Amino acid sequence: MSGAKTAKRSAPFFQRLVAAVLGGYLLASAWIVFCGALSQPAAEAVLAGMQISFAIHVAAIIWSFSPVSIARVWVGLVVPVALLSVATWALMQWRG
Amino acid sequence: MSEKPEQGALTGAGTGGFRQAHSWLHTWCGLWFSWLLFAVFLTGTLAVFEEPITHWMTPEHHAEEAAERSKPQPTASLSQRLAWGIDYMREHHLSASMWELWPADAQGAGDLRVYWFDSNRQYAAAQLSTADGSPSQPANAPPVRGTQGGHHFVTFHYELHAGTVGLWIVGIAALAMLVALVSGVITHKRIFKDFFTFRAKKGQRSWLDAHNAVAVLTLPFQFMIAYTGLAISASTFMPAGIAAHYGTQAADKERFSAEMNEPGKPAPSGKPMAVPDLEPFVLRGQQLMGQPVRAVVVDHPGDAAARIGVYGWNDEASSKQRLSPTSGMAMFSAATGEVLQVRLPGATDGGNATLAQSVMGGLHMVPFGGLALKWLYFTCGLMGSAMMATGAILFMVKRRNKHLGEFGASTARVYRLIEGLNVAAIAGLGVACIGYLWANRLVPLGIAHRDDWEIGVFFALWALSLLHAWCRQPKAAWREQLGLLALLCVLLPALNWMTTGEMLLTQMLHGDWESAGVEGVAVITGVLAAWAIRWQMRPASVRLKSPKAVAVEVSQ
Repeated sequence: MSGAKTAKRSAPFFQRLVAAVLGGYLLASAWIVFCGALSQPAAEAVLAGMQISFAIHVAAIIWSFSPVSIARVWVGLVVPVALLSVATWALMQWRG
Repeated sequence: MSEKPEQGALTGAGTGGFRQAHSWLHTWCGLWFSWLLFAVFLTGTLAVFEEPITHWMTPEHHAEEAAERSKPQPTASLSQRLAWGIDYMREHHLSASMWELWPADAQGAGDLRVYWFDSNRQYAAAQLSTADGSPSQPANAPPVRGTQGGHHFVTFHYELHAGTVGLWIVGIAALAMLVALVSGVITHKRIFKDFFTFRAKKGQRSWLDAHNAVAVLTLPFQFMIAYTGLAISASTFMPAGIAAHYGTQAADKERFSAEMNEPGKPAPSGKPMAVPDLEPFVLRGQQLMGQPVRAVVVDHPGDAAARIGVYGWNDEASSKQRLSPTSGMAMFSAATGEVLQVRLPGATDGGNATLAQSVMGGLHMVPFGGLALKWLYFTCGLMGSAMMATGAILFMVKRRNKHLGEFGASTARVYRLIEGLNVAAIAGLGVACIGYLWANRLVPLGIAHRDDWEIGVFFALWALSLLHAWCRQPKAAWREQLGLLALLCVLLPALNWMTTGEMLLTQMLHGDWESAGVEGVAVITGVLAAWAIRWQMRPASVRLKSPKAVAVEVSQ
C-alpha cells in the first residue's frame, strides 16, 4: 500500500471519527435541551434527558461507522439536530 | 471472523457489509481502549471490596476493633448524647455555618461524632466520649499508618487520581466500551450458539471462544455498569441542558439541583436565636420517617432562620432489598418547629428522573444486597476484565499467525508496541495492584505524605512493567511479569506475618474474615498466575491439539 494511497483512503476514517464524536455529542446535547423545554420546571426533564443521552450518542457513533457514505452519515446526524432545535425553539416561544 | 486481510487500521472504516463494518469498529475501538478499560474494570472490581482492603491496610486498628466487638462500651442515652454534642459545638464552633451530629448507631450505642464547616468551608470532625461527652481524641489527627486503603481503587477507577481530566478520560473510555459492546453484538450473529462453544487447545480459536463466552455471559452486567457509571456523572459529561435552561455559573447549577432535591437552604435572617434542644426534633423526626436517627444537621445555627434536618439509619435488612439507597429524612424549622419536608426511606425528594438517578447510582455502587451481591459483582467484574484481556490478546494471537499489514511499512513495529502494552496492561497492572498492598507494609510509618508514597509505588510499578515489556521479548515479558505477580500474591500472608505478626490462620480463628479474605484472594490469584506460566511454557504440541488443523479452521 503506497503512502499517498493510504492517505487518500484513510480520509473517510477521520471524517467518520469527527461525525461520531462531535456530531454524536451535538445530537445528544440537542436532545437534552429539547427535553428541558418539554416541562416547567425543567430540572427533572433535563436529568431524564441526560440519562438517555448516552444511548443516543452510542447510536450516533454506530451510525457513523456504518457502511454508508460520509455525506449520508452527516445527513443522519444534522437532520435530527435541526428538528430538535426547531422543536425546542417552538416550545420556548409557545411558553413565552 | 469475516474481516478481509486488506482492511487496514484506518481504511476499514465503514466498508463492506453492515456486520463487516462493525467487526472493524469492534476490533479497533476495542483494541485502543482495552488497556485503559481493563485497568478501570479491574480496579473497579477491587473497589467492590474497598472496606475489607482498607481494613487489611490499617492493621493498627485491628486490636481496637476486636476489643469493641467483644465488650460493648458503657453508653449514655440518646438525649444525653445530643446534649453533649450541642454543648461541644456551642463552646468550640459557635460561628460555624453548619453543625452535624452523629449521636449513635442504629441501636443507640457506638460512637458520638460531630462535624461542622470550618472557617475555610472545609468539613471538620471531632469524636466525643460516650462516657462523659469530652472530646476523646481529635478525629482528624494523622492516623498511625497514613493510607488511602481500598479507596485508592475507587478513586483510580473513575478518575485515575487525575481529577476532572481523569473523569473525562474514564468517561470517554466508558462510552467506547458501550460502542465496542454494541458493535460486538452486531459482529457475533451466532451470539447464543457461541456462548455454548468452547474449543480448548486450539490457539486463536480458543481465545475467541473464551472472549465470546465471558462477554455473552456478563453482557447485561457490562452494559449496566458502563451505562450507570456514565449516568452518575451525567451533568459533567452532558452539561448542555443545564447550560441552556439554567446557565453556566455555579449558582445556576445550584438552582438546577435545588429544583430537584430540596426547597434549598433558607437565607440567614441576621436575627440571633439560640439552637433549641434537639431531642424533641429528633423524636418527631424518627416518628415521621420510621427510622432511628443517624444524623442531625443544623443549618445556620444561632440564627432565627435555622433549619434542623433529622436523617435515619437504613437497617441492614431493608437496604438489602431496596435499589434506591436513600435513607429517611425529616426537616424542621428551628424557630417554629414546623415540618418543612419529609422523605421516606428509599424515596427521593424529586420525581421519577431523580429516583432513576438514585437507582442507577445504587446499581453501580451496590450498597444493597449484602455480601452475596458484592461477590456476584466481583465475579462479573473479573469476567468483564477477562473479556477485555482476551480481546486484546486475541488481536495479537491472530496477527502472530498471519501478518495483516494494517499499518503499512511500520506494521511490525506497531505490533511490537501492542504486544508490550498487552503485557503491561494485564500482568503489569496486577503487579501494580498487589505491589500497592506490599507498599502498605514496607513504606516507613513516620514518612510525610505516606499515602501518596503508596500510590506512587502503584504507578511506578505499572510504568516499569511497560518499560520491561518493551525491552523483553513478549513471551519472556509475559512469563517474568506473571512470575512476579504470582510471587507477590502468594507471599502476601508471609509479608503480613513478618511485618505485623498476623497470620492467615489466626485471622480466620479470630473471625477476622476481612483480612483473611484479602489474603485468600491474593493467594488464589497467585496460584492462577503460576498456572498461567506453566501453561504458557508447555511445548506448543501439548498446548495446541494440531497446529495444522487450527490453521485450516482459522483461514476458513
